[in-house]
Amino acid sequence: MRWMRRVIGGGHALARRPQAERELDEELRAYLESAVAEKVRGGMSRDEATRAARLETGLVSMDSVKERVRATGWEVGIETLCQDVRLAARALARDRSFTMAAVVALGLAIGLNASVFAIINTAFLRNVPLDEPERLMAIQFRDSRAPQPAPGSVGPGVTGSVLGVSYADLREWREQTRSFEGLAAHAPPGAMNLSDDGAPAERFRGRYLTANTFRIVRVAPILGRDFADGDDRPGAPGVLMLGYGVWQSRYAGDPSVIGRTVRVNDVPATIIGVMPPGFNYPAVDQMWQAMSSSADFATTTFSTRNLSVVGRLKPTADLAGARAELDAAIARLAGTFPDTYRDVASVVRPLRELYSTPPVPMIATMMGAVALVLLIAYANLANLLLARSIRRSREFAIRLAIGSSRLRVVRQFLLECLLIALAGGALGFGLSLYGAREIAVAFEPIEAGVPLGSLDSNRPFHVDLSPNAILYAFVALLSMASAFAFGVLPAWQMSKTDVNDTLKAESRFGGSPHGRRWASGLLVAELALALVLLSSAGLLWRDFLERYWEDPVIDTSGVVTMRLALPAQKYATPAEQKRFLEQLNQRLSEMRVFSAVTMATHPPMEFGAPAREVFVEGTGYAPGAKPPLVSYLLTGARYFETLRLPLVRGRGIQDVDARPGQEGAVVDERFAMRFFPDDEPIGRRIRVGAAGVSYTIVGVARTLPQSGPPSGLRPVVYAPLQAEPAPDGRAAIIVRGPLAAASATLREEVRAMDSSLPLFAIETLDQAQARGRLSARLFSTWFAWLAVVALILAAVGVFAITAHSVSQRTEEIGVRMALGANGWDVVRMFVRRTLKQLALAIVLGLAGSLALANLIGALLQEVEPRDIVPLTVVTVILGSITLLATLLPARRASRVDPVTAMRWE
Amino acid sequence: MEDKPSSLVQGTLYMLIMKTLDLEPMHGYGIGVRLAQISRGVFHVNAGSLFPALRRLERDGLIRGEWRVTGNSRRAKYYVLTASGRAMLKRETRTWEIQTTAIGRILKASAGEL
Repeated sequence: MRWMRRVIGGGHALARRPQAERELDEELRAYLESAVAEKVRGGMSRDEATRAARLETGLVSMDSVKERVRATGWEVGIETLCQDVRLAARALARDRSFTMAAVVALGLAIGLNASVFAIINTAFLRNVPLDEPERLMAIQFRDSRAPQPAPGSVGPGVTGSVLGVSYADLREWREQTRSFEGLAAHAPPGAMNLSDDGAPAERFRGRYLTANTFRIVRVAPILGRDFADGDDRPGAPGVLMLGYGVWQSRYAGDPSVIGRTVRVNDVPATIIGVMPPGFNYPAVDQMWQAMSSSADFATTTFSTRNLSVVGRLKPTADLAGARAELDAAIARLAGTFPDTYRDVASVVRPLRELYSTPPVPMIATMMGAVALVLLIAYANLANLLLARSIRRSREFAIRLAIGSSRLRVVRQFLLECLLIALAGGALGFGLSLYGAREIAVAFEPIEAGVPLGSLDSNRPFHVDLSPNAILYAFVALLSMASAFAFGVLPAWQMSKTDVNDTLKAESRFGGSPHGRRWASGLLVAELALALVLLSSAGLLWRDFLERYWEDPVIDTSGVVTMRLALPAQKYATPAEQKRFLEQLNQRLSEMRVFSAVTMATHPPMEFGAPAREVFVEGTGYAPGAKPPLVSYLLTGARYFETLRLPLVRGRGIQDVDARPGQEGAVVDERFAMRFFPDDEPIGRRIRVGAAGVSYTIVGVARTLPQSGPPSGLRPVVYAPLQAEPAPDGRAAIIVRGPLAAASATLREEVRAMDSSLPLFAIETLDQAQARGRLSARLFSTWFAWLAVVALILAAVGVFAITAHSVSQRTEEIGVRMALGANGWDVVRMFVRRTLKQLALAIVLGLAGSLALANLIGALLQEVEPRDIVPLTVVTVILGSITLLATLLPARRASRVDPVTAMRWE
Repeated sequence: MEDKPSSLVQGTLYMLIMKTLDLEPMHGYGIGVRLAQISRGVFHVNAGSLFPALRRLERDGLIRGEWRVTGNSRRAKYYVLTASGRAMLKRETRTWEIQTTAIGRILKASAGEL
């Protein structure tokens, strides 16, 4: 209770400070006057009485009594603090260049850290931006024989152990569980070819949902109506919900589209509504239809397990209860349908775990790199502050001498550090708003080379980089911790200022030897860290350049690719797909308009080509071992000629290779080196897929460079389209010719075959390659910028320290020169010291780089992490910049006039 | 003649001031005079100790200050003991008595009693 009173009293006093001051003054005067009056009554003269009264009552100095009275309240602490802050701000403002350098350096470092943290925040920490996201659960099956899936393992079909759910399962669960407000499901993304009278057919990425999905996630359409329960019943008329983006781009935001009938994958559907902007649930989906419109629904049994189920827990339910309930339901179902429910267990986890997160090696590298930059900035600032406090040591000594407490002086210094840190933090926060966005673009590497909006991207729809409370807290905490980090050493040094020594003689040789050793050590640390960053950046850049300059093998100029995808509703069986593709192949081979046109199941050189297991005749595999994977590319006529893909052995694919029983395939060099290192590959037989077609190898082609992560590089098998009975429903047309003419002509060709089938991803091979390299380029550029920042910081540090050292040792220089040294000797003196520091830093830095080699290696494709060339180059760069930074101030030293120097005060 | 207040006396100063005010509301100078009077000159309090103590007591709500006009028609701040002050005084006095009795007993003890 008492402390509350004191708080209130203090606040009260703060508020009415002038009045309180006046009252105290009046009270003390009255006190003195009473004492004087009494003495006068006793017979003294007024003056004598006053003097005596003052002495007796202790009111010789009224101010000191006032101080003591004031000190009883806590509010005086606040006032002192405000005063100190003002003083600190003024001191910083006086030293403008130092302050700006410090704030900018720290701002850059904090900005980088905040940017990376923003990424981590949205990828790992933040929840999905839906209503009460923690109650949304993702429910899947898993193979109970396999280990539990890790968080972040994505939807059905991608990792082996996580399976989807079937519509039948969903129905059963809806009846048998009570923990959920509702269960909704969505199918894997599919192509929705939207055609209506207004515009040519366009392909969008769409999802099939149960009708209650949007009600479960609690997002309502901004126009029209939500799905109704009847919409997803078998046989219900088709309905279509548009995404905001589609509504704007295709229909220009026209509200009258509601109720319009269009064709989706050639099936009529009515547009029922438009969803809010930015809503692409569950991933990057652009429009939605009810489950009943999905091909699987109509043609296959209910037991196709390819759905992802999402449920909202009732307020009264919890995760453990839901899990138990689900397990019990499955156990019951296993009794009734033993085959269907064999070896499956349910996986119930929070919705956000359904989404893929950025790869850990990349995140770890980024975090490590920005942390290094931060450390360098700290070392830099600490050094600058040390130098500055040495400059001001006289001022401190004087203040200590006239009675300021040591604590107060140090506190003021720390306040200066805090102000710098807060300013740096604010600057860093601003930079991070911009930086985070830039870095996020580099995070497409999960599916490098795959155009956004394609079928394969599972980037979460909720990547939201706007700042939230956690980010603010992070920046605030980091700033304050920074103040401590770089301020503690100079503060400690300062607290040891000896008043006598300092005031007696200007510290002749640059401050205490202790302080100098710290400064030197910090500098070595800075340089070493900068070297580590530089070498990482150098490796990444070399890797990127290697990939950039690598021999493209084929002439990519003037080659245009375009893709199409056959929707499952219209081309339900592999036979129908194959028929379409063969028809297309036939038409293309007869075209005379272009000199070279062909097709394949996938564009060349791109990551994401279908992978198949390969079995080489004559080699066995241990049971349980996984057979190697290859990229299986089905090609049309004139493929090798169109691309001008050189063959090193044998020949390209010809018509004869499509004849049943005589199937022939071409492999690439990578395949040949992997499987036939010492043998002749021509004539050997391979089988693609466990129950697939067997081919005889008829040729070996040059390996084409592929874009994508290093782990994704696979040997390629080229097979004739006609040989494979079950091709993918996808195709790419490859043509040599101008982009506009090629796309127009080929669109017509495809339209003649099927008017609702659009062509997409029309681009030249050059563009495709650039796109595939985009993330690598962005990442290595970003890293290079980091390294440059580190280098600049280190160079500025070296410059500042040397300049400071020069000014401190001016007297000494004067003496030396008077004794016969010339300018060069002086310069050599400084350079020699820097060289020693540099040598030590290089040793430490290289050791550090080698230690981190493995981490970097995970990101490199073409270059070894212990590659000498980049290491040498960056060492030379660092060395020369450091020497330059030393020479400049040292040269100034050499021009010192000995006479003036020795008189220097 | 000034008593440099030892730590022991500083703690009791609050108690002494409160007792003085218990007898009669007083202004600062009056309190000092009264203390010197009653203690027969043993305790002289100077302004540097008195006024901080008064401020502390006021903050804690144990005394209350009021501005009044004195005899020579000047303004002075008079202090009054509050109800909680009175209660605190009673508690402190009892503690003090217990302590002094104990101290006295120890000081008077002869070798045989220990």
